[in-house]
Amino acid sequence: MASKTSNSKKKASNVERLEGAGVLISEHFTDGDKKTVEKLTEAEVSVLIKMRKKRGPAPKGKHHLRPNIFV
Amino acid sequence: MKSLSHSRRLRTKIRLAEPCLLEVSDHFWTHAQLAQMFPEFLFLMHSIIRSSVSLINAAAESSQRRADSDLVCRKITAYYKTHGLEEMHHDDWLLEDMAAIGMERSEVLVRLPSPAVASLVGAQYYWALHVHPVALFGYLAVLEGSPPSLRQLNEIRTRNGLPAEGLRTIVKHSRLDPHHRDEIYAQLDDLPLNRNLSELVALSAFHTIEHISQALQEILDSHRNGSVFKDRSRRQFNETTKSQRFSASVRSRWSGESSASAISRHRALQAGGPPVANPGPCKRSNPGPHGTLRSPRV
Repeated sequence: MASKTSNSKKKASNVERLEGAGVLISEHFTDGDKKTVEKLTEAEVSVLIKMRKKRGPAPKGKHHLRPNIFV
Repeated sequence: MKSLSHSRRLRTKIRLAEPCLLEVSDHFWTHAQLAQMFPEFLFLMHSIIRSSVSLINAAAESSQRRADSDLVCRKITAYYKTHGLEEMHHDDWLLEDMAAIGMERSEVLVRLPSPAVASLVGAQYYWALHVHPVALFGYLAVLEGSPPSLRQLNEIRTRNGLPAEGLRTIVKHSRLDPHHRDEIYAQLDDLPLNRNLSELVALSAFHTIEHISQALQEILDSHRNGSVFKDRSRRQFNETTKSQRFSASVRSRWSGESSASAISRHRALQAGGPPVANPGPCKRSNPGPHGTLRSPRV
């Protein structure tokens, strides 16, 4: 008989959720960064996912760019 | 094990959100018609910068009021007061740049900013006054956290034929902001932030990124709809300075003046000859979400 824990669905990590929503590409993040991402609160994760959804899918090959905000 | 600093944590969070901004900013700064949109960008910058001192001072007052019972507020009050002084008159600098490229000061000051700017700045007042003034660190970390390099600015200016006078404030900020950014992060690391306040700073940063992106997108959309500055050619040109020549060339493009006419006008100006009249007014089209810089009322 399968144990109770193996039957229950594993909760997705923040990295998995954010990657699934197109917010991050996990291979671009160090293990240290990923640990920080795992500590994000539910509200933070939710806002990030909503922002990504609003702007649509991220264009490929643009991850090296840095924003330029002149304020 | 040593825990991660607040600044490092915030940088990682900003890194997650900033692709939303870099996509639109990259589109903007590499746009083939950037020169036509550049005055709109200066107007956007001015809409934001004009609120900086009042906003920082409001956060300083709010933190001072709470300082007796709140250690974080005690620590940030002095920082906000100093930073408020550092940001003074930057809006005037920008206004001078805008005037130098032919934008009317009085029109800039009465024109309504995008609601995205009101949301951007307004949220900071709400957080600073009603939640916790440390929220402003998220806003400042985004706005002063990614200054352009002088090399980037020169490249953009050369590629688009932008007049140096229009970029003076931007160039100054490319020198000042790295120091401001370092101060923000050093100050942040000195704060006893709990999880709640840390989250507030991050949400403030995310909100800033979202609304700056939206405001930049509005400029791009306005341009795509052909509504940027189309009604600006009502004035008779009387250009004598380099910056005004730039303004004239951009206006001719916005107004739909034929390229031959624009070139002959430009050549006459270059040769130092008498000013050649603009062909005349053009009809105004849909002003778009960002509106247009209005011509003088006649």
